[in-house]
Amino acid sequence: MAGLPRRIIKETQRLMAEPVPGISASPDESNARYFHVLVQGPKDSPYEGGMFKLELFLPEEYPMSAPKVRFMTKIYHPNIDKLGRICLDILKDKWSPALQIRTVLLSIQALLSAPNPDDPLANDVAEKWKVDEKAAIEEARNWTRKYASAQ
Amino acid sequence: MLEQEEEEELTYSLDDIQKLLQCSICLDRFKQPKLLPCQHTFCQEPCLEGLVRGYSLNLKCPECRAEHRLPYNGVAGFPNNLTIKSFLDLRRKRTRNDSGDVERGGGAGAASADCGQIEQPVPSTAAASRSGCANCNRETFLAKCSHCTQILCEPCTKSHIEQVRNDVLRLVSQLRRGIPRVSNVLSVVDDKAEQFKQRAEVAKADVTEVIERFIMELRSRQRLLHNEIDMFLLGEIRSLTAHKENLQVEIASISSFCQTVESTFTQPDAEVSSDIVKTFREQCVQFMERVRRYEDGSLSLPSERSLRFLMEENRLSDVISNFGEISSVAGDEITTAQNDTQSQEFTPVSSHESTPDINISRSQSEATSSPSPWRNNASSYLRDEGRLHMSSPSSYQTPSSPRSARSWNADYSYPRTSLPSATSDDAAAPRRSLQERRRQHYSDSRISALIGGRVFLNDPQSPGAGRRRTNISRSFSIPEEPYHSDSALTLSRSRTYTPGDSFLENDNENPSPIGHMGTITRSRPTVRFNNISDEETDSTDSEEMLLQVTNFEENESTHIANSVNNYQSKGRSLIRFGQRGNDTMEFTWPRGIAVTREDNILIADSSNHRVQIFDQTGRFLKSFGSYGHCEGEFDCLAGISVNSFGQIIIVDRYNHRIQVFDHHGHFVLAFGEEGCDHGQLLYPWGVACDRMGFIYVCDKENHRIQVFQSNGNFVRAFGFPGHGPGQFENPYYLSISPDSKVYVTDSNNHRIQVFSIYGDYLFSFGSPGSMQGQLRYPKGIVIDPQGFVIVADSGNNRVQVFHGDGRFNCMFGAYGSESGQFKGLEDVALLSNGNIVVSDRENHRIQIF
Repeated sequence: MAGLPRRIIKETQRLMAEPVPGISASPDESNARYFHVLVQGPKDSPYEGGMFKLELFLPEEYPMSAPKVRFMTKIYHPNIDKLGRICLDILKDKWSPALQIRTVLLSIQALLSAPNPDDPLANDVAEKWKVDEKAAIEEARNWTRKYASAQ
Repeated sequence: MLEQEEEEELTYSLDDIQKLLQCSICLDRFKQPKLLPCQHTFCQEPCLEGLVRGYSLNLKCPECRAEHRLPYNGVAGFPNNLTIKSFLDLRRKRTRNDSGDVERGGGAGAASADCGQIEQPVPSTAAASRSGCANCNRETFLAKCSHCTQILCEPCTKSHIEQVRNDVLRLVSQLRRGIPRVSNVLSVVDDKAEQFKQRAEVAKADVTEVIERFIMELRSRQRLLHNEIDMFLLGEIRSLTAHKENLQVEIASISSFCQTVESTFTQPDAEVSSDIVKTFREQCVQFMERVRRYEDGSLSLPSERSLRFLMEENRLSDVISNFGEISSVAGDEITTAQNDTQSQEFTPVSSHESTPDINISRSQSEATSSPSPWRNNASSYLRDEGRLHMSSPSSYQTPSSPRSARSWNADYSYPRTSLPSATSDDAAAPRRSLQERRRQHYSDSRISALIGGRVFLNDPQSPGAGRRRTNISRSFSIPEEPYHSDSALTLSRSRTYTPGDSFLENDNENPSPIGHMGTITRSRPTVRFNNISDEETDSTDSEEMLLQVTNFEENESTHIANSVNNYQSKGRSLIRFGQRGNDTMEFTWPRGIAVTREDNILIADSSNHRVQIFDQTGRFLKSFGSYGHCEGEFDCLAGISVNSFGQIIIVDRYNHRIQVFDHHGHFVLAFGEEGCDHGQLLYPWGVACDRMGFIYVCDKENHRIQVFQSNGNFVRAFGFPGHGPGQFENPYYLSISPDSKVYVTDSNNHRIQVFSIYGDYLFSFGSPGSMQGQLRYPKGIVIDPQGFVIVADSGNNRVQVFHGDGRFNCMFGAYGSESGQFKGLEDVALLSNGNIVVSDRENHRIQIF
């Protein structure tokens, strides 16, 4: 692996040295651009108590292009589809090289706290969320219990 | 322990600086830091370069996402962030200089662990003060600095002291540089003193000038009074002489009679008939009778008229002692002080920073802000004060005497002493405050202006009332120019010389004074030239205005339901004539209409640039005028009016002037020119004349009304552009009611506004619309003898009739070109038989209803 950019090294070191509360990210042993991420379900959200597994990959152009992030744990969320793909602007057109892995993960955590059914990725979930938010939240809770409860 | 603490501190401070020197893209120390217009800094290579994609011309700031246009030569074209650069340089230098001290400095190993270079942290003073020399960290002999709390070693103390010395020197040089500033202020203060002196001089000169002027006025008053006394004396002596002559004649006739009788009787040869003796005896008895009358005084001498100098000494001296005021105002702005109390005060100004102005505030009426009101004010005082009062026994008042005592009285007695009802206020409280009196006068004269003619005609026994009104209007409308007051002075003086003729000479612009006697004494004031101040008065006195509004609105038409002229039954046109063309009886855009005293109809045939004259049945009589800008020529004439002397006043619209013709249509005079100043016109339109021949012109594009004397001299202007009361948006036509109110069609405001003849706003009526009483671009207007107002409601193609107070009465007309229909009617006029003449502009015809 020819020359891991200094930025990635620095970010990694910092992630390890000063982990973000509720988030852990560790590089894969064989690929320093691949990170195993665990995100705690935020407090006061349907995902509270859950531990969500994500994968994060830093492409060749990083930091000029956004990292690729995906939920590995099933989650009932209007902005996250069945495959775990996330609809988050900073992962797409709003990416900026001034953002980092930690900021991306923080944003994802925030997205769990504040679902945005008006900009959906999972249409059925978003529909449910809009029509009957209570039931949707209950469903999300169920899913959390079912799929994301510790280990 | 100490070492540990220090290390943490150092690590921490280094971290801060590290963070600041770190590019947020590469998370590394800046390399060629470039500053974007949004003030964010990034490395040129590879960070910013990496951001630029393909041939994109824009670059988005990674921090704030602001879009910036790429410079011509790419990211290198962004400016270097010099601050960051010097930070980076500073740290490198230190690294080189202090390389020997790295170990001893207990530097930041942790911090430099992630960089390839060995870097000496910037020493923090807080940390250094704890141990060793604060400067070099060498723990040699330490001494406390005498001027600060640092503990330093000897060489460092030296350099420190050196530094302090330099500091002091620098401060001293700064001080030196500051000295000129102080001396500048000093000179400013000197200048101020000089200015004060000058101002004081000016103020003194003002005072002197004013006082001198008063002395002059007093002198002239003195001359005037002396003259009056002389005149009186002359008259008395003349009558005494006449009496003397009479007596002499009497004596002569008696003595000659005696002689005749004696000689007749003493002639020896004469035979005296008994008849003659009888006649003689009768004559004797007659003469005896007359002589006896002289003896017992029944044939009186001309009565002794006492001559006294009446004046209110106290009043004048009060005025003098309270006259003028020295006030100092901070700042350059001189406010025109409005002081009714006239207190003497001088406030010394201590602050040299403010620039006080000494100004002499003059006691002035609240109504005016004219430059020298008080002088006029006071001069009216002077005029009023110390009138000659002549009293004489009534027996002497023979109507045959041209200088009857009554006419003397009429001119010389100040109303306060001799006036009926209306003046009781003043008589009761002669010493009211100036302001109060003025206000009283103001409203009085307003009412008198409206009802004056009638009142006076009904009350010919009190000429003093008329005289009083003259005084009043003078005292409340203070002219702006000194010569005005002079003219007032000469006016009163000339009256003094020829008291019996006062009515005549006041009315020099009116050839038929007798017929207008009442109105004259209402004092169509030659002195009332300033209108602006009057309008201000309006605003200040608005409260009073409101109280009186009801009065203003009343006239005959207000009280009666149906007019003499039966407007209700109008609507079918009796006579129609004219069509488009330029022959006789043809019109091109007929506009203004006027009716002469002979009931001939004058039509302003606008685009034929002529006036056509018809009789009241529509028979063509003659026409005059042609296109041009010389005398008697027109360029699209508009309004037309006939004044009380039969003169024809024509608004020569595109020549921006007024032309006056005699009743034969011969040119008399022209006045006005294009412009916005007083007396200048901008597309004037309608015109009207009041009974005294004053000419009122709608100065359409200047959005005001101007008033001229019949000789074309500017009298006043009123109105400003706008939509508020008293403001105009293209006034087109106007008319003057029998009770002397000016009705103006404020065309683009779709309303009629009513003013006093002095331009005081009274009320308005009409709103935009086509309902009853609503107006759309009203144009022509005429008022019948009862006060009914006939308006050409041009935009609604109808004629509306209102009561004098603006209440709707009736209307007729519709759009079209049939009989009784209009297309853009322009002007209306009234024949003496009550028929309404309408100029139906776009039908190019005249209709009579």
